[in-house]
Amino acid sequence: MKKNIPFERILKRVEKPGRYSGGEFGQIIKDKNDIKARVAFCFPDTYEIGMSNLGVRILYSVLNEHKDIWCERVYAPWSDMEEQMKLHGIPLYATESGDPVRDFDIVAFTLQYEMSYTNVLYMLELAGLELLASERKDDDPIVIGGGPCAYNAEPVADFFDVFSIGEGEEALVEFTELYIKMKQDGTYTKSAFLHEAAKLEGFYVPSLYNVEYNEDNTIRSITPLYDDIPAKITKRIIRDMDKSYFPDKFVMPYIETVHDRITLEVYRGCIRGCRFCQAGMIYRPIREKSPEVLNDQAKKLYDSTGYDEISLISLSISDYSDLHPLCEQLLSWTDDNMVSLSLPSLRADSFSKELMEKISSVRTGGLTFAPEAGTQRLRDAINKNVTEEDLMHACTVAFEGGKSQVKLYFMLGQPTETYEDLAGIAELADKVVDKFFELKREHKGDGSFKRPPSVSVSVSTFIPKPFTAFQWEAQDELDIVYDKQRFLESKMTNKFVKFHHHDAKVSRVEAVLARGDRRLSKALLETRRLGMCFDSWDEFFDYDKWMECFERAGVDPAFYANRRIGDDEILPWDMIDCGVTKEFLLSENKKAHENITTPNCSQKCSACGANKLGGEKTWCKRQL
Amino acid sequence: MVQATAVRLGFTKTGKLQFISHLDLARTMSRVVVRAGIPIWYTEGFNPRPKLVFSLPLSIGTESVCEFVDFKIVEDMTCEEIAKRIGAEFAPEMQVNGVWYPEHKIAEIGWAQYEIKINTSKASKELASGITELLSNPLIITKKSKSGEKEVDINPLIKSQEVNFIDGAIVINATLSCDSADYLNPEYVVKAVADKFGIDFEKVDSEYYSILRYGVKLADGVTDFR
Ligand code: SF4
Repeated sequence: MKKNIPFERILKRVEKPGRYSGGEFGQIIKDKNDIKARVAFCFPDTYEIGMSNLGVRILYSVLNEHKDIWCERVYAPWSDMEEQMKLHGIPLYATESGDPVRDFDIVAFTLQYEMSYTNVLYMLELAGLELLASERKDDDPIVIGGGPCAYNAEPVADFFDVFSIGEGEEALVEFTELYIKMKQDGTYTKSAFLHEAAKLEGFYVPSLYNVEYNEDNTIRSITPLYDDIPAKITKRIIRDMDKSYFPDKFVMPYIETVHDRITLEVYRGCIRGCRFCQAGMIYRPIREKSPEVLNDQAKKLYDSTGYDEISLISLSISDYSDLHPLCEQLLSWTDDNMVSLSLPSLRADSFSKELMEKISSVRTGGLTFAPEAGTQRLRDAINKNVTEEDLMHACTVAFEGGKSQVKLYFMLGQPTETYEDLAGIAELADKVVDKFFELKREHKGDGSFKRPPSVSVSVSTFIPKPFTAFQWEAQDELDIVYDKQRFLESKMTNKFVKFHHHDAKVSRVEAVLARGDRRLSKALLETRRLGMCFDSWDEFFDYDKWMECFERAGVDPAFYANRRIGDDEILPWDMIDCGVTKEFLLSENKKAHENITTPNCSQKCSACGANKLGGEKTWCKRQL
Repeated sequence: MVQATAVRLGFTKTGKLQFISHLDLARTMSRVVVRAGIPIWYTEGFNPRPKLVFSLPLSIGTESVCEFVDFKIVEDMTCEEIAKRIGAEFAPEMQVNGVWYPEHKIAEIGWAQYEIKINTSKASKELASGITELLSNPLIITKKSKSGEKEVDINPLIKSQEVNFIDGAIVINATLSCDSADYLNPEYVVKAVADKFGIDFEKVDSEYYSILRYGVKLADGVTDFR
C-alpha cells in the first residue's frame, strides 16, 4: 500500500482539505537522516480539536527541541477522507512529512476522553498496524498512550505497548532517549525495551502485569511479572512549573480551530476537591506559575504568533493566588496591541469593576455558573462549595453590568440525590429569573434591563470516574435517568428558562469505559469490526452498536456502570498511584454520605497524599 | 492623527496552500502582519483588526503566483522592509513578490490569466484542437450561485485562449474575466471541457487537473495590475 497518488489529487475530493494539507507556519520539518527517533503524535479526533489542545502543543515542541527526535502530528481523518484514503491505498500519514505512520519509531496517542477510544483503533487500522499489541512485530512502532484516560487505560490495554502516567514533558523525552539508546547499542528488542521502560518513573507496561479475576468477575490480583518493576506506578509531575518547558512558538493553523488563540496554563491542579471530579484529583498537587513567567510567555507567544487573543486556562482561574498582578501585567501591553484577554471560569467578584471590564470574556460573554446540584444539602455532599448566595451575587453583578444571559450547569444522578434535589435545580433557575426582575424594578427608569432574561440550564449525567471520591458509586440505570430527566422537564415551567440535558446513553457508555477493566478490550475490538469511530460526535454515536459490541465480547455493561463497587475490592486501576491516596478518597466518600464538606487546599490541608510528590509553589507547602 | 500610507503586497500561494480558503487566508494574513511588526492600520470599532483588502478571490484548489492584498501603514517603513519582514513570517508555500505603492485601483482589474493543465488518457493533438473549437464558440454553462442556477454563455468571458498538447497532457492558457460582475471561475472551463469530451475525473489515477493563476490584467487585457 505505497502512497502512489499525490495528495493534491485526493484533497480536491474532500470537504475540508485544510485539515489534511499541513504546511502551516511554525510546523517543524527536520532532515530524516539526522534523526534517531521519529514520533507520530496522534490526536484521536479532528484536526480542529487536536490543534487546540495545549498539552499536545507543549509535547510537540518539547520533543522537537531534541536534535535526535522528530515529532510530527497526526489527526483522525473524517469519513470522506477515510473513503478517499481507502480507495487509493493511502495509509494514515503524518502531517509534516506525509510519511506513513507505520514507518515511525514511536506512535503516541493522547487519550483525552473515553469516547475517543474507537478512534484510536480506527487510526491504528488506517495506519496498517495490527490492533493488538501482542500481534505487532519487533520492527513495528512502539504504541504509547498518555493523557487523563491513561489513569485507567485498562479497557484499551491490549492495544498499547505502554502508557505514560502523569505529566509528559519530561517523561516522554526520557522514554524516547531510552529507545534511541537501546537501538544504538544493539540491545533493542521490543520486549527488552518495554521491560526497561517499565523501570522508568511513571510508565505502565500492561503486558508486564498479570490480572486475575474472582468468580464474581471482580479482580482477585494484579501482579507484576518481574521483581524489578514497580507493583504500583507513581504518576509523573513537573515539580517547578516556572522552570518547566513551555513553547515560545505554536504551529499556526490556517483553518479555524476550536481554540485558535494563545492559551496559557496558569497553574496545574485544583484546590477545590469536588467529589465527582477526576481532574481535581489527578492533577494534584496544585502548582502555580509566577505572574512574571506567565507574562513573559504570553509576550513571546504574541510576538511569534500574531494572535489577537490570550486565554488563561486553569480549572478554576479565580483560585490563582496572583491573579490580580498577572492581569495587570498582561493588560499593560495587551490593550495597546489590540489583544483581548479572556479568563474563562472567572468569578464575578474577582476584582474591581474597572479591571473586570478590561477582560474581554467578561465584557462579551454571558455569565456561566456551575452549581452542579440543586440544593445546598447535595452541594455539600458532592463538596461543591458554592452557595445560593454566591450564585445570586454573581447574577446581581452580571445583570447590573448589563447582561441578561445566564448559563447554569448541573449534574443529574449524583450519589445521595433525591427528587427534592432535582426540584431544587428548577427552583434555583427560577430564583435567578426572579432576581433579574427584582433588580429591574430597582433600576426602574434608568434605561438598563431592556432585554428579557435568558437562563439556560444544562444537565449532564453523573459518571463515576477513577481516582475520585465517587469512584465506587453506581451510575443510575438508564430508565431511572430518563425518569429524572422527565421529572426535571416537568418542573421547568418558567418561560425564561431553557432546559437541555445530555444524552444519557453516551454517559452510560462513558461510565463503562471509565471504570472498565482489560476484558473490555475485546468489546473495543468489536467496535472496529463494526467500523465505529468518532463516538464523541452525536452524528456517529450509536448506542445499539455499543450494546452489540459488549454482548459479542461477553461483557455486561451494568457490571461496570451501574454497580456499587465494594470498598475493599481491588480496582482495575489499583496499579496506578496518582498521589492522592485511596484512604483519602474513601474518607471523602464516607463524608459525602454524611453531607460533610471538606475545606479546600487554600483553607486547610486535608492530607490527600499528593504532597508526597513534591513540587514548587504548592498549597501543600504553604499549609505546613 | 498620523497620515496613513496605502501599500500593496504581491504574493504567491501554491502547493498545499491551494487548499486554504479565502477566509482562512484573510485570518492568516492578519496574524502575519502582526507578528511581522508592520505598523498597520486597524479597523475601527469594538473588535479592531488589521484592515486588509484582498483584490481577487481565489477558489480552493487553484494555485496562484499573483495574489494581492492592500493595507495601510501608520508609521514610516520602507516597502523593502515590509517585504522582508512579511517574507520571514510566511510558510514556505507563500512567497513575497514585492511591496509597492498601488498604481491601480482594484476596480480596474479586468482579466486574469490561468494555466489549466489537464491530464487525461484522452489527451491528443486532436483533443487540443477540439477544446480550442469549444472555447472559441458560444458556450452555455450552468452557473451556480447563492440565488440559484442560471445559464450563461461564457464565451464573452474568455478573452483569449491557447490550447496545446504537451508531454501527454492538455495545457490551456486562458485569459478569463475578473470583472466583479462577470467573474469566471476557471473550474467552469474545466467542467465544460470534461463534460464535452467525457473526461471522468473520478478516475483519479489518470484523469486529473491543476489550475494556476499567473497574471492579473486591467480591463485592456494588456497592462499588468500593479
Ligand atoms: S496535600 Fe493537602 S494541600 Fe496538598 S493537595 Fe493534598 S489536600 Fe491540598
